[in-house]
Amino acid sequence: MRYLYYGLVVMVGYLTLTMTPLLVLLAGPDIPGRGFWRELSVGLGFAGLSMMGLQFFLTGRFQGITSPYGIDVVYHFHRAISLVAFTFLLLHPAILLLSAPATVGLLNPLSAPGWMTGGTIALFAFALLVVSSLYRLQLGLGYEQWRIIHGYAAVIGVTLALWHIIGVNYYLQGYVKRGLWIAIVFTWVMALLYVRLVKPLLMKRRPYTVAAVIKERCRSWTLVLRPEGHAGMEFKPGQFAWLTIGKSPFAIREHPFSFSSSAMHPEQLAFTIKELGDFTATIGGVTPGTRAYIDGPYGSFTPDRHTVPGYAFIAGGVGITPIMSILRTFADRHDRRPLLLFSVSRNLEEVTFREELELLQNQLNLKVVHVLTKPPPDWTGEQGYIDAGMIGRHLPEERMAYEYFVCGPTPMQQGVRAALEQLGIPPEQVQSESFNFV
Amino acid sequence: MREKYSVHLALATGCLIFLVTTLFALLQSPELLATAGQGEVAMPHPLVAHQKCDNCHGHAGIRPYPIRHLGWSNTSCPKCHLPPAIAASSPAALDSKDEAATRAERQAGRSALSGPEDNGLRPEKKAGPIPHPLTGREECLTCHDTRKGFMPAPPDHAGWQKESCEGCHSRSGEAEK
Repeated sequence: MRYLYYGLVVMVGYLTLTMTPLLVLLAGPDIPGRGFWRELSVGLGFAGLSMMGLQFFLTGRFQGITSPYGIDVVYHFHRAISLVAFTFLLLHPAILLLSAPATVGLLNPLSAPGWMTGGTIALFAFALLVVSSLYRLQLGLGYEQWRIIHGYAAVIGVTLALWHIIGVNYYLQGYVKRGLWIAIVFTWVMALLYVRLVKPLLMKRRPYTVAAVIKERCRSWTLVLRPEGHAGMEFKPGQFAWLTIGKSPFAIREHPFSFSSSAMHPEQLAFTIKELGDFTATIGGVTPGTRAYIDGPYGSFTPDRHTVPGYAFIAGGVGITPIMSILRTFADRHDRRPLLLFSVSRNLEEVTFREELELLQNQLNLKVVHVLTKPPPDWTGEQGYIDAGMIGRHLPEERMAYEYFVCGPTPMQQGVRAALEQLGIPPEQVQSESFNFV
Repeated sequence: MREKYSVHLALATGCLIFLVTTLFALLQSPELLATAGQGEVAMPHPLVAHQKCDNCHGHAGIRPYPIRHLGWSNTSCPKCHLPPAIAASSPAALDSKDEAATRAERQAGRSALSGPEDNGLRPEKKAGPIPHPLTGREECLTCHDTRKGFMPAPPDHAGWQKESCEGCHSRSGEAEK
């Protein structure tokens, strides 16, 4: 409930911050309107810019913003609200041109004032930002390339858009309005500086060293990190962090990975990573002694937010990683609550942490159900895609009191959620996180 | 599901912001609101010395305005309600005429609020000076009430408060002596 109220506060704060620049326009001396359509166009321009400026906060991984919802929700919101903001920004010139066709001349950079051309370029920068995010894979952009384009296009777009409104100089007349807008822009700049400068500097003061690189089953590797000159990182089991491997925390090569180690040992952190993309394919080549930096912890996928009499976990492939962190933490805490784990893999050879899961069944009140999608002929356990019948066969009668954690590929998450719904499990008792952003 | 939730949240937020933006545009287009309602109403009296419209036309004033006008400042009134000289030359269909000219006229009407000079806003017939000293006679309506006074003001003065008299009728210096 605390998170619900806090989430509402964050949402109201977001709306207030978005609308404040618009309301500021009406403050102070009366500025006559110039017709409904023109004012709607101008209002949409201001609102769109305000929303774009606030993206620096949404993507800044501020704990205060991400904790009530989970960072995945905030990032998906960032993606969706950017499209809304871009639509507003597109409507700004479109409505203006339709209501006053003579203004088309302002699009000619040879005759238009500089601030007008600045506005046009800003719109193109925002278009680049949106298109490169929606079609990154189709455009053949690597993750790092996309991040560079994204960052520069955002800063250029917002800066030129500000030049545009200052150049138009209609609603920003007077010290009050100018002062308020300067204050608003100042907060955007501060958010950007914090993310790009202050946070990396703080990370630089808390470096880690790769202590071991352990090969796991199914093309996965576990990186064990030890803090250098500090106590490490406190986190909750199931959470994740952005990991930078290399000499500088300012590098753009940072990627989100779940902790796989016990939260009871912040002095020895572990991330288990599967070879899936450009960066992860190189993980096995990381040598012990390499410097690393961690930005975190993040995420709401943790049982510590839900105190219930029992938990059920459904993990697909490397989705076992955060659940492994939870199980290891429960073992260290001597937690005796009943736990049920569905581990979905193609075959037993690909079950990451298979041996340790066997051991944990002795330490915890844990039942592990292996579900194989391509089982050997002599397999007598569960097989095929996970469904309501399969889950129902293993769930205890007090299933309604359980909290459910699902981690794996998106289609599996959707299937499991549907299955749990068929079993009558309320959706709010099913936890999952989705990181399919770009 | 969490992605859908985020998208729905973003769409709801976007709709709300669009609504506020539309309200902003409407607030900046009072002529549109007036047209959508009952049309522009010409001022039945000159503006000279009556710049504080809400003295009489507040929601609870002696000539109350419609409740939808609540929150409008005095400077906004002449955006829709034209003073007599302007109203006579361009009644309701202002937008069908040359907009630039109309805006200029409105601008002239607005500037009249900061000073009582020219712009054709003076009453057509100049009001006469007050023929007697005012000391001890500040309650104009005691004698000049349009219905009960022993020297009643003309019927078109009905409803004017005593504070308004000097807006048109100037004190006579000699009489004051």
